[in-house]
Amino acid sequence: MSILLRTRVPQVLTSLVGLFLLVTYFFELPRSIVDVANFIPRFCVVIVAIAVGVGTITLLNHHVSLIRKREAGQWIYSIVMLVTLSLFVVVGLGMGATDRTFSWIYESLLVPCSTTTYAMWCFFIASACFRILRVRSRESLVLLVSAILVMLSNAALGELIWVNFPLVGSWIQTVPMMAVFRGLTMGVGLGLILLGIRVLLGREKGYTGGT
Amino acid sequence: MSERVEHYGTIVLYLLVAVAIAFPILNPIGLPMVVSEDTETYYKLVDSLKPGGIVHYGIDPEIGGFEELRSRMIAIGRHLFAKDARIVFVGFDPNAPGIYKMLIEDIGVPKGKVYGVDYVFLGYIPGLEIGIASYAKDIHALLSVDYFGTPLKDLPLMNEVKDIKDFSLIMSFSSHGLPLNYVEQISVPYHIKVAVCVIGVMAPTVKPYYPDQIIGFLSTPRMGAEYELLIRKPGIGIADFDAQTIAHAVLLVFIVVGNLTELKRAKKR
Repeated sequence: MSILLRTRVPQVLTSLVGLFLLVTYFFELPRSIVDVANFIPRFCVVIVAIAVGVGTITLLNHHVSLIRKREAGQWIYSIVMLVTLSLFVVVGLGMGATDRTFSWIYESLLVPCSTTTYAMWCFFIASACFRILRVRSRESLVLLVSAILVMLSNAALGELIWVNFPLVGSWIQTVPMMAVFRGLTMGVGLGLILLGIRVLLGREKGYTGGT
Repeated sequence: MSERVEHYGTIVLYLLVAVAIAFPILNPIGLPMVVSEDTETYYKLVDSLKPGGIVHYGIDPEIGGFEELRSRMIAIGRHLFAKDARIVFVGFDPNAPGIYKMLIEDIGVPKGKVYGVDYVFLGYIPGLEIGIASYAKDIHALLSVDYFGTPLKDLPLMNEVKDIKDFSLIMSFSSHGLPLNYVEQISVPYHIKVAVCVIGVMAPTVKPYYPDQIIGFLSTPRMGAEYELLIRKPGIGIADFDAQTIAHAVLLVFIVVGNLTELKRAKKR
């Protein structure tokens, strides 16, 4: 595929659609134009749904190739992935996603695996607290004190020591933490506006594989 | 000595944390707690709904995060049904259909509440932010059937809802960045504030929008327990809170041990 088709055409399309949506968002326009602007996001939802299917095919190709190559330490897991994926697709398409068998597979396979993985965080965080929350400098002392205060305010222990402990934790989260995150959010927002302008002007080439 | 504390400390810590969590979950203690201002605000938001008010209930967590949100989702669902609110369940995360099935069993639909009249489930809408934008603009243009394949025009509840402005309250329960998309695609263009419930690690990212764009904000499992207390229906939130408290106590002891070890090491140096 030529570079023109692969990069320039998507860039021009993105710019045109982006500018069109921007204009329809900020200005009063005839109903027929607004209808087109309303149709585009709905069309995108369908495109995203199709992209899931395309993604699944890419995933299949990748794992089939790993199995063919007998990739060390990986191909066994690729088989597990393929079997599980096939099971969900076959049962889901064959019996329907509302079928009890499909729900049973979801609840007995995906739910326990996902929740177990998520629950493991608890041990990692506990271990991290034990190793990292140590006074080695003034900054680490601040970190330790605020961590302890937030922990006490989130658990009943704090209230048992002093009834207003939750207020201390709430203050830490509402004042210093919020100040930092609002600053970060505004910085990210400004960056996104600049990125948007670059995309609209066709200067941003990263999303089409360019540099 | 300090190396031994480091090595065995982690193993002992893992074991103690496991016991500290498992014991209260199996035998809830019911530790005392003060209801926080954020939980009370959220509770009042739901409690002030008029009977028949229509609520958007966004099932937006991935499955791992759902377990942290579960107590809050159940308690708020029960409160909504108790207030005779009509609920439109919908999800912008692919896990929504699976979670809906578990959630509706946990909430327990009260007798007399009818599917299609008092509550509906619209299923999963792909596209994240773009999905939210399309949904907010015109639900019937985006979807023609609910999750179970019933045409929306055959569901009395959906005949009263055309777009996001027809909801009395918009809620999102999420374990990732979706509440920010609600802010961008609902709060800002339609000037409608949303009520948000997130997992603990997401709180710093979402809280900057509270209370200007986000009207209600629940961010920790403790708030699930508090909500259960407010609706007087104790459930898994209370057990979660007990487990969290005991695990925190264990952690605090280990933080002290870790610092004493560090002090000893520094003295040696």
